[in-house]
Amino acid sequence: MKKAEFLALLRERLADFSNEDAEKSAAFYSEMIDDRMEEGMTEEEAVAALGNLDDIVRSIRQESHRDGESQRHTQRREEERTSEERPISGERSRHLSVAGIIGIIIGIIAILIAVTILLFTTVRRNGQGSTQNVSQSVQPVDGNSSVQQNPQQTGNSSVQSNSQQTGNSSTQQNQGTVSAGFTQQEYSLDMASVQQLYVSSLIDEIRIVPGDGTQLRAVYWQSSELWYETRQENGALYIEQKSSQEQISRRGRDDDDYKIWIYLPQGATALNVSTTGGEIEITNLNLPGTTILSSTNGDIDLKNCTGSDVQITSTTGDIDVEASVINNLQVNNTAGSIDLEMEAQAAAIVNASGEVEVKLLGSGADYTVQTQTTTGRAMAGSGTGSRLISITTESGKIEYEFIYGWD
Amino acid sequence: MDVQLKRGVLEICVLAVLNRGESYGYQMIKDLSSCIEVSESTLYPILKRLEKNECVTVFTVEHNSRLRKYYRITGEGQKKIRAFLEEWKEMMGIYHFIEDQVTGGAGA
Repeated sequence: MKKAEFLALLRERLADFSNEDAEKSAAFYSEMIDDRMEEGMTEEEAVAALGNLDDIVRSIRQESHRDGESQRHTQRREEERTSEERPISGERSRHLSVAGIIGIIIGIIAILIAVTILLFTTVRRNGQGSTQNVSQSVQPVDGNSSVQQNPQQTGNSSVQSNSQQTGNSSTQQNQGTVSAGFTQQEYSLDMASVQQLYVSSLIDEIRIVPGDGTQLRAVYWQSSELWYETRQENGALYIEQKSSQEQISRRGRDDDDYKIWIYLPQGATALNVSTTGGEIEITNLNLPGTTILSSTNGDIDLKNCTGSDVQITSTTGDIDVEASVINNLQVNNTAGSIDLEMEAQAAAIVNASGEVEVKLLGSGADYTVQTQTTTGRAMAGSGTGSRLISITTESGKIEYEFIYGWD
Repeated sequence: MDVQLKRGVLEICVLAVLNRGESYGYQMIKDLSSCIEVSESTLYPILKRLEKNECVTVFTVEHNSRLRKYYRITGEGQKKIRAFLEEWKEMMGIYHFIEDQVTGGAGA
């Protein structure tokens, strides 16, 4: 690439920066190219020696983001419409600009408007919410209440958002404590209607354990702003946490409240559990044939389970499998750790910067372990068995061992 | 080396090079290469930051009918070097302590 082309591309990628900042960046790299050419490189070589344009742009953006300069960038673009001439020598870049003050005033007005809107909507909601609470405390606890929670048991497909219900059907099991406007709910459905189960949470910890009998039971807490929606569609049951807020937190809630418990009897053929801000813990379960677990930041724990086809994915959560027997396992993580203690027929384990530690029940005669890493420290692969375990990382450490029994 | 650690240390390396005398971008990369690997995309943000923190001043000189930016260390920049050396003197003490524990005595 020629110098002019490189600089044009660079300026293009920094189009949202102020003219001054974009030019400074371009000037720096232009100087580098010239210096290299002076030393004897060709123009193309000099440009190539700068490295990857993406990396260059990223490093410039990271730095400016760190400074919070990007705000000042947009403000300065307004200023520079009047095209000031910049002196060549000794530039400094701090201004207390009029534009900055105007920005602050606009910000304050925006906050005031937002607060007013919030107050307005909270007032309306509190109207609903408090009716629910009041009717609950008045209601006698009647274990044999004939009020059935869910008409779905007849197998009709319908969307039910529990928060819309009146106080009557909201407590069956537990009159329960109310923390920060949350009440406990229970949902149950005959397993005959559940071939596939989809559970997703925004912030709750999802706990799945074996269920008795033939009824799937889900026990959870919800409020008018954070609730679970349940629906059935073609033999699939969806239990999904929804929120009306943009920011969801666990603040103000008791430890036990932000868990959803799923009691799952045998019979389902597929299980899909996902969470964005919560965790997943599954214990003592014979997992449905196809099981997919995924989280963003939360940990995923599998303890004492068996499974056939299991896929576990996380970005920064830690993935922990303990004392489990799985046919075909796929695990993917980016920054979290992967810790497996298991027996498997085949496994593909991939991590980027997180570490991987695997304990395999059996010996080198049962497994062939293949390890591969870009910059991490990895134990060499070994084993001659037919069960293939492949472990790959970018920079994460890889360790494995063969064990004779669970820890 | 840990990315965060490298970033902090690179700043001081740049200052140390400039302490010997004012210099310009490409020359600094060459001078630094004997100590630590640094690319343009790493150096540029560091120089911007040093200028912002007033550890260096920048001036432009004409060279072969083009403009070259020179960087010069300030008193503030020299203070930063001294602070780094002080801090790491303690670190060296800790390093040797650990080294002794590991190599000196017999394992428990």
